[in-house]
Amino acid sequence: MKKSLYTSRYKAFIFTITTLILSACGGGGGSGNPALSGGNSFTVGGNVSGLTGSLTASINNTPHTISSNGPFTFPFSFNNSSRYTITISNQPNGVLCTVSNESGTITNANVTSIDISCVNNSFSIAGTISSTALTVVDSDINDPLAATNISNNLLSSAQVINNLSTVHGFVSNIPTGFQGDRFQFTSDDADFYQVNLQSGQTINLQAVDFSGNESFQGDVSLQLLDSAFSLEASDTNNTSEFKQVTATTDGLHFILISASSGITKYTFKINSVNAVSQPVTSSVNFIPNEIIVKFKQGSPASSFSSSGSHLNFNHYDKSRASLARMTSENLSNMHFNTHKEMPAFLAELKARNENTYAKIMTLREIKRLKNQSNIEYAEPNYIYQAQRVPNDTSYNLQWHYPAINLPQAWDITTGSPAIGDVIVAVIDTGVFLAHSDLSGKFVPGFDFISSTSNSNDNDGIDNNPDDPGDNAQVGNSSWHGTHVAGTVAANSNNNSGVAGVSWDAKIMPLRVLGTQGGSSFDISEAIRFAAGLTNNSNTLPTQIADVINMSLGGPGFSQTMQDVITQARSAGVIVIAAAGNDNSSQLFFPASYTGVVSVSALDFQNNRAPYSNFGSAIDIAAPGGNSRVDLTNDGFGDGVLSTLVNDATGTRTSAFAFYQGTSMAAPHVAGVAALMKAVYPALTPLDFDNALTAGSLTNDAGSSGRDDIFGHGIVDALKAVQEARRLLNGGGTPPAPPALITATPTSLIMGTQSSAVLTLSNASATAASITNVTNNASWLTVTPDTVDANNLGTYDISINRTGLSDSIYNGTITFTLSTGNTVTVQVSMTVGNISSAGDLGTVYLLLFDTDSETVIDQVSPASLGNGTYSYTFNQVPSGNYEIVGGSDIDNDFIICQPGETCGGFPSINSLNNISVNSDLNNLDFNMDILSTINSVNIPFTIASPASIQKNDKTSGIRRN
Amino acid sequence: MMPSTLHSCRLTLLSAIFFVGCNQKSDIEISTIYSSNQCNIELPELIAINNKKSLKDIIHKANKRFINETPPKLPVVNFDNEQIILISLGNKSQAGYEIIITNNETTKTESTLFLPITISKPDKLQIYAQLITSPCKIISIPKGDYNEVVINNNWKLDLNF
Repeated sequence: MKKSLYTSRYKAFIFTITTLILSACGGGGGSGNPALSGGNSFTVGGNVSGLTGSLTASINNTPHTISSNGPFTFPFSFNNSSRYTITISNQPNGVLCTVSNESGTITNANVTSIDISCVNNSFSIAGTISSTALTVVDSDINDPLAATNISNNLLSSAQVINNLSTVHGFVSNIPTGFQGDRFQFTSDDADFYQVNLQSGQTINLQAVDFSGNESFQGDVSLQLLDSAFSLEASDTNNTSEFKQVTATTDGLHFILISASSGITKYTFKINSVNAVSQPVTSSVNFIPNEIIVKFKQGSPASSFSSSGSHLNFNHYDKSRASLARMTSENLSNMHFNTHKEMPAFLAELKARNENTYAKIMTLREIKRLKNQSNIEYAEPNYIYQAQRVPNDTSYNLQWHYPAINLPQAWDITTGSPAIGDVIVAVIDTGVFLAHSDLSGKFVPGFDFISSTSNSNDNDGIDNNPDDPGDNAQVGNSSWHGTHVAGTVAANSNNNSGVAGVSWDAKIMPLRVLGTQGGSSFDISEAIRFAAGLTNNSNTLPTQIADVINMSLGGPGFSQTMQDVITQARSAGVIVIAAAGNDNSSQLFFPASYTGVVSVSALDFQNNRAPYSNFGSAIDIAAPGGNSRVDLTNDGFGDGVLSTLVNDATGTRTSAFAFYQGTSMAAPHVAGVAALMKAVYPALTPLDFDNALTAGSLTNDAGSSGRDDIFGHGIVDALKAVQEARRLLNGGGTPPAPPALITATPTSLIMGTQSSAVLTLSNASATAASITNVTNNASWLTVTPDTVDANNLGTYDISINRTGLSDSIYNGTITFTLSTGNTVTVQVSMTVGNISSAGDLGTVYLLLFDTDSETVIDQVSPASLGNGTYSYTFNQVPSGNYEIVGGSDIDNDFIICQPGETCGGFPSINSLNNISVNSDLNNLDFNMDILSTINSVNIPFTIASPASIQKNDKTSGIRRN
Repeated sequence: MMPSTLHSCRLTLLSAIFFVGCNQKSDIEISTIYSSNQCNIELPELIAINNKKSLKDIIHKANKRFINETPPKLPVVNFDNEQIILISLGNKSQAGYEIIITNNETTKTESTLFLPITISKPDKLQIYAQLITSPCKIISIPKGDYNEVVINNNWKLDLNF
């Protein structure tokens, strides 16, 4: 299939054999006499000149071979008055022979006037081919005639490329099996490329034979490793031939392209940071050797075992996802090559960075599982470690949010569910509905204060939950409900004001506290409304609340309220309440009702706030503040900052202020519950309680396990949303994120610069110092500039290029920490001019005769360096031709396929007919990689004339 | 009728003579020049404010809970003629506490001025917001011939101290 069926050399062979046979028979012709019929006999002949080689001269269609110059006579006799006609054929290459007096009549004499005159008719066609800048060919491709054959299968032999390169290459998961292929008997499992990247650069790759061609079909995985061989980005999707990764750090990287199945060519392009291509965020922060697997409903019982004996599942319920763990002892049974040996690149990866190896193996396994028909989905068990910090202008004063790991939780969810809203009912003094940082956060509420002497709004219950103040004296109202609502769900990340725990939750304001507090009855009615139960407003909410927050209370037990809380829980509402501020263990209500989550308050140091209640009813602790002290050193007492009202002028205006109390602690927990509901909408009060008692929502404090101060512990928003994810997926629990010393920038790409500044800082609450600074480059100097007692601060970086030859240099600065860890910073710099010339690799250039529609010659251009190549076709007979060429990296004898270089004169999109009647020079043209990843202008299929022989299934041209 | 009326008159006269000599009721203007339930004063205090700086400090401290807010204008006070008194309840565990000026009727004995100011506590049968409050009120009364002030019947302020 791959070999040429007919070649010019073959044709020449056949011709030679024929000639020899004819010569042995006496100079040609057959046994027949073309015109002899007895009587007088005459001959026909003449002279040959200029002949090099031999030709066929036919008289009356009887051939005769002439192989020398000078007089000749046809070996036939003719009668008088016979007519004759002579034609010439099978002329030598590069020679043009003409015959004069080619026809006539015998007139009683021999004819000697036939004149066969031959002249040289071969010409040369020459030119140069230039490669598009920054094109690169894989240093180990399947073409055995490739100019370069250097394995890049390992990290240690990674092929160095420029960081704006376009590359075409070849990988195979199995030997090709085709005779003559470089990889006939072995696989080409992986290609590594070493490159200095800038953060934000995106690599676009195409697995060219993803859909298959006549010879090959395969897929690849694309991964990016940093200089420490840690996995930085990965794209292992098996649904598309296109893959993409984005560098998230500056500096030295390794691009890994591995054959995940079959055999395929590939192309990839490294885009500049300013490229139009949208950067892709692909998380590689997942637990190695763990996979979340969901089998299709109705899949056979054997699905779990058939998925692979190297997987251990935590349960076998197909109605929800399972957590599968890969066992190292059975990894050899996984999808390695057919010889069951670990590919060399994986063995090397395992030795250099076992975590990366484990992650890559996990991704390969996920890809394999996804291809199974009984799998609904398979995905990594992600770890979310980044801290998402809102840009609210006063967020920096809200110490109480980082205190419960909210930034980490926000990286998972900011409270927006997939469908609809999460609603938190704030049963309180009402809310200042016009507050600027609560705009758009409300669903309809109600005012349930039934006593006009208490309502301060001159009426009983009404549908206006706006807070008119809980004190008639100007300046004396607490605006308590506004403060609580802001903690739950203030407009967040809006460059203004403060943040709330749940950025996206909605607030249902329910007013129950007036100038004289609130009554059990009024509060019970508000609870009923929130839960969608019949109530004395004679209305029901369009959507019931998911969470109720009650930052209120008193010492008396109310059966009415207990009953309605039980009903609210049955309706699916999670009920949170403040534990009380009496510094007492006496039961306080509603916090102490059965089914209510009672929240005690903590100060900045996670100690019980001096006022906070404690005791047997405490369920959980959260920041409530202690305004007596300023341990945060922000100039304010350590209260909880939220939205408030300032009515000093007699008019309510939006304000922000610190308050302290278990009132402030409860909405932290309510907001966290709202975040959980956003992740897992089916979260029930019982789910919440079970998770709380299991310690899944908190960090244990005080006495081990539950105690009377902290309950089940200090609320941890990250653990809570992770628990929600676990409930959603049925998977395992990810670990808590570690602390870090970070360098800014994380690497230095200095180019031709000679100095830079590096900043080392501690991004965590865990103290650490730098104990030593080293580097491994003689041209690199690191000097502390302004550092603190922990040696954190700024460092001066300087470069000395004296005596260095032109090249790209890489070095590493290592900061050793008091924890025993290190922080490394890669430094690269350039000396001199670094070439960006392209490389076409081995190119096959074809000369196509448009008259005979055959390829009459094929040459391989010679490299002139700097990305240019010269070519010459010699002894080209006069005629009409086209020139096309390209690489054949998969050695299937078809050039100009996607994933290979291709070019033609003057352009592959518009081939010109070349009329040859003399030597031709300067037939120059460009050659580029064929791809659909926006790197080249050449279309996927060649817009070539129909006269060029093409493969039936794909574009491409057969070569010899 | 004469005897009972006369008796009443005698009683009244005697009372009047007594009160003129012991407890004297009079209406004086009690002005509230500042009031808040978040004065940020940790302990109960009943103090005389004798200068502008002290007044400013108290009011600014009360407003420190706000961020990005301009403190309110200081009330105009004539410390020569006015007696400025801070009544602070200190930190309270919840809302519901109030300092109430019931009326303008004061009672004075020799050197003690009883002010009609009471401290209201939360109703134990009601439910209240669970935030820490620190109610305070700064009042102004005319200076006079008293050197002690009493509020809420038993909370004394010795103005000479």
